[in-house]
Amino acid sequence: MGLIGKWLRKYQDDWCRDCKREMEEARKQLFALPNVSVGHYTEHREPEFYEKNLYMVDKKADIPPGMYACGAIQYRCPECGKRVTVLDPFLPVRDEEKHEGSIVFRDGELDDFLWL
Amino acid sequence: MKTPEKVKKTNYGYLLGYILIPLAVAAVSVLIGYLFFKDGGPGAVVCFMGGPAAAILWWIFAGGVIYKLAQKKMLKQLDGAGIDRRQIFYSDGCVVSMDMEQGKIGLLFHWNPFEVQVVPAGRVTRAWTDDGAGGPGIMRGTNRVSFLFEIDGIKIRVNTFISNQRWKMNDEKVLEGISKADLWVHVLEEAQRRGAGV
Repeated sequence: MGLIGKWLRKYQDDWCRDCKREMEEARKQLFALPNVSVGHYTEHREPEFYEKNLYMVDKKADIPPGMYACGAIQYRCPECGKRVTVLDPFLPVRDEEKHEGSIVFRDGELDDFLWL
Repeated sequence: MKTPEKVKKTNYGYLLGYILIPLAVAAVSVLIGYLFFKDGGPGAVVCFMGGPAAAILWWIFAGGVIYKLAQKKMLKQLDGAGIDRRQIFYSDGCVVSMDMEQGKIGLLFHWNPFEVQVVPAGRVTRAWTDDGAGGPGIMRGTNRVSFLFEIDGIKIRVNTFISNQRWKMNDEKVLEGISKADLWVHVLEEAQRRGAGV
């Protein structure tokens, strides 16, 4: 992920575009992506892919070597109540992480699946 | 395809032939030029340039081409023997395939390309990752990441990342190489454990 991608991920995903203000982090969860292994990552923007392939895990250590993980954060705007889910697929490598760029769902596409 | 008593990483006949036959061809070509085209002309150019040039091209390219063709043949041979080759890793010096169900490791080496060796996974004695980390302080980095394993005491190194320059340990390419190496160590250990009946 390039510098611009990192900047966008850090400063824009959690920004309410309607109210022009920062959203609050409402929920956070780590998932494993067992069907995606090192060297085989391709970006998916369709929610169905994540519904089929994400498995909840407690901690990074639960993810076997070479397997992708995916962090999910739900942001909520304190003013208008809008919710946004940001997925952050990454490859955990020992103490480091190789991030592939975040995927944002602004219309609650994954809310029922992720935040049951 | 065979199950060897001892894994053979280098076929010395092939290696010597690879080096010496083009050398002999170049020498004969130069000798012909010297004996029959002393006065120069197109024949002399062909003899003095053609043979050595062909030898150099052979040394640069032929090894890679032969290895690529051998890889294709390996896949056919594994399929023919009913060995699952979905888990396979292609490296510059070696191809490793793993059939977890049957506990079989398929091996093909760059310098032994005419022999696909299939070894029971239980014969792997250990497997580990070498991240190649070196250098002091901010210079710390690597130019090679590999996983290694021993079969009957013979060490086999498979590179997952190789470069002619040093990269930081947290560089994306290095991280990917380490992850691939760790994955294969995990696979080999699992196969070894199954092979040992644990």
